[in-house]
Amino acid sequence: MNDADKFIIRKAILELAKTGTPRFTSIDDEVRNLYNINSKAINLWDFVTAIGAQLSRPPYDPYRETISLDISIGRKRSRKVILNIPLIIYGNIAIHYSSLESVHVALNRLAEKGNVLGLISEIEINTTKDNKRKYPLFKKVPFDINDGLEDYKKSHPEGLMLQYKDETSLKMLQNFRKEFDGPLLVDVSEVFPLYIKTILEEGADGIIVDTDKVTKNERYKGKHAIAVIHDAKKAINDYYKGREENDDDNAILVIAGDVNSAGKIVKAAALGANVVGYSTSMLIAHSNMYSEKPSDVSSIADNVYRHMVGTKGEIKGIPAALGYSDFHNLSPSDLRTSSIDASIQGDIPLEGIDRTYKEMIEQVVNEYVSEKGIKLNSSETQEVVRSIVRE
Amino acid sequence: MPYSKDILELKRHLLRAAESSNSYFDLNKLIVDVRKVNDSEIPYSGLGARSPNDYFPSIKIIGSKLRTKEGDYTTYNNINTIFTLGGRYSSNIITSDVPFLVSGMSYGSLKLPAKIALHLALNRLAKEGIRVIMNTGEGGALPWELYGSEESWSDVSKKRHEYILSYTDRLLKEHHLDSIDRDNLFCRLYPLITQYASGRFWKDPSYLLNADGIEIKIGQGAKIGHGGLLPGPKVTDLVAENRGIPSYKAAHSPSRHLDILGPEDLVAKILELREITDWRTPIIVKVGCSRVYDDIEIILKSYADAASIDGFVGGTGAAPWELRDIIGINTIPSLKPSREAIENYYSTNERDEFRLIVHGSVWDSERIAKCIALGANGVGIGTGFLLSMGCTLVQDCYTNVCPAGLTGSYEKLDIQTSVNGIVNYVKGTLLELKNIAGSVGRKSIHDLRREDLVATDELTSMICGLPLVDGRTFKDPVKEIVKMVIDKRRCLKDHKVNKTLEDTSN
Repeated sequence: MNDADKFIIRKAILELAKTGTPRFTSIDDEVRNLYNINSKAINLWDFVTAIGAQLSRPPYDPYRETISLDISIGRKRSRKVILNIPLIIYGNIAIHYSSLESVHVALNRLAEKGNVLGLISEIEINTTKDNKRKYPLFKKVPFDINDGLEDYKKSHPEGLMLQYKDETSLKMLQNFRKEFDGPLLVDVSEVFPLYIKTILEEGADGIIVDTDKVTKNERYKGKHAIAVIHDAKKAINDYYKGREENDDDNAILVIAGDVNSAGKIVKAAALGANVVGYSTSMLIAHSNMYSEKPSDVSSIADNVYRHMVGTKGEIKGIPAALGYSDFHNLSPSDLRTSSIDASIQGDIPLEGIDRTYKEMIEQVVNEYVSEKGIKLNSSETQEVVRSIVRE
Repeated sequence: MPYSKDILELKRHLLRAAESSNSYFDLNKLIVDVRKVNDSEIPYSGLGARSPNDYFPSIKIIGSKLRTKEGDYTTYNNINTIFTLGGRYSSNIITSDVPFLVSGMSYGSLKLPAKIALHLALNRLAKEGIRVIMNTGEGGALPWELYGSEESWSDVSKKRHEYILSYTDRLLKEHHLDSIDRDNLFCRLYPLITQYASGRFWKDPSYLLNADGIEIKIGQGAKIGHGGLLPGPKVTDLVAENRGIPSYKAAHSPSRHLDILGPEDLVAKILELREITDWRTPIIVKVGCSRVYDDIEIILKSYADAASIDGFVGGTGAAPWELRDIIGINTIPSLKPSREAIENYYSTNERDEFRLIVHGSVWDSERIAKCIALGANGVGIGTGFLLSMGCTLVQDCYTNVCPAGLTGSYEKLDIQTSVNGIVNYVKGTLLELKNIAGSVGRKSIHDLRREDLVATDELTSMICGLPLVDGRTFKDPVKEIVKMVIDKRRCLKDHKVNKTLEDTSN
């Protein structure tokens, strides 16, 4: 039920329980009269759900069976980095040094327990012999770096992250690829959806897309993170179209931005994300800066640690309930939506009819042209459908 | 679950931090985050998922009225509302005077006074001629539910008899309900369905043999694919004793029946239960709404008497919060594929007494009527009954703290007030149902048809296959747009051709 609806429901049923006599108006009439579903402040994520496993496909049991979350980052000749949780701490909030210290402690503790996740950071923690880094660091390289990568390689990061700004970034990417054999992730948020094919051809191991940034671009204005993830995955799939299948050549898609809960992580993964840039823990650590009584590194690290353990439990449980023993088997076909907008933006089937809104409209177009004896070829039909769904 | 002061402070900081973030945050999300930070556990919640669109308000019953003349509610007294269950394969048939039943809510999930209130209320209604079916939920049944008739004691050994009475005494004493009249308590006048779930929380065959119906629970709407869950603090000694499990340890049922992995296993299980009950007892199979068409198709071929589907918003005592809010589809969109599976099956098989029961986001007469018009034979209500007992919808059912005394803080619940609330809720809902059916010209609530409904928006029309308010289907406006687009294209094309001809002639 909606948070807003529930008080209407409660009031109506209490009235019935008090009197036992028929009411004048039903709950649905009151809901309909009070507000229009379409005018509510909405987030399309809430309209997207996943279809669980029941009789026709049995679920796995996360409490008794192994559910794999592992993901390997690195294509072809690149060194591989394995994450045990498909998350990289990365967000659009600048990391304060004291917060980074806490994250470092937390990520080390997580790694010790077999829960390796990554960190993308520009600054890094001063480590000592006793305080070595046990998790993969993807060092963020500024886009305007003029010198070589030597300074960035000093700390032996497992991977590098480059922010792609324009055509000049291509030269940098080519140089990076020559000099660095670890995974190279490229944040394309500022140029999205351009250059993805070129970037992958130049040997990038993964693409990072920050949905918050992209939805501020002119091209994606008014669109939701769902549309961004869908288009990013499509761009990667287009790159691989017609190429020989090779298990060792999987460029990953990292989605950051508006993916800040276990439910959204699963939805993003089903739409095509391989790894999620997760910043909520950073928010928790970051809260240290806002506190009237700043906590110490250790207690914030505890917060981040516990948060990540809880999140891991959640993201293991959901694919299991959908009938998968591997998180990375999630696909768009596992999703359904109760919103026309979400169906159009993410190409997600509508619940109950298992077809997308576009497919339903295409069916009506075909029915109409056949009734009227109009001849349309498939590209013309698609054009008519597109103009109706205002894609 | 209490949270430390630090955590509350952290929540405040999180809110401040969220304000400066571009990402979408809501309060629920922050609560989930803070809970994880507190104990590294998966955060739970009670009740049903938050669904931004459950379609019910977008469906109207043409010309229906909940209320007829002021002060006279007997205008449509003769409308048939009887609902029967069984008879497809079972020799017994359960008869209810209303087309809704009390959905499975177990002892453990609900505290004892709330369970007793439901028991006494259904008994009072039965005495007044309104039999309502109750489902025990998966956590076993209470002694007076299983041994509520003379014949149920006939095969009980002396030792067992003594144990049942001693357990009852301890139950009542712990909840300060010693004064309850045992004869009155050990009398069940309503039909009882016991749930056969993956946890098998019952200790002897009386759980199956003394029930009027058995429901094999494959899943439920609130936690599809997850299995039942009762958090440790709620597994008190007496709850544990009833379920045959250790005290104060979370009871996680397996996510699937370990012996039902596919259609053939379901057939084998149902035949096993048929043998145990001598083919007397109606058997229902309950699934959470996901691949409903396929699931109903399997149930139809499995010797079951009925299928029960539980929509996304269906309630629970405890479910992982994120899982509850992400998995499943709404009740209304599940009805069309369910009905299609049933119609397709009967296109090649002779019609029989198969029933479809629908749960999830159904809590009042209009919603019941809409479900029936869309193809359900009966509906299950859980949250509606809790609301009639005073539920405040704070969703803390997984803790031992409930402001209404239903799922925790049981001393707050006044049993007599709750009984009155339930009785009024059932009677009022029944009157409203009769008025709805009567006002649209039907003699029975089961005569309501899709033709009695209209959709108020395009999506609901598309998903339910209902006409829009103006009598057209969602296809008609789309076809008009197609015509406009094609005409515009033709004009542009003609214009282009004319322009080319002009250019050529020039």
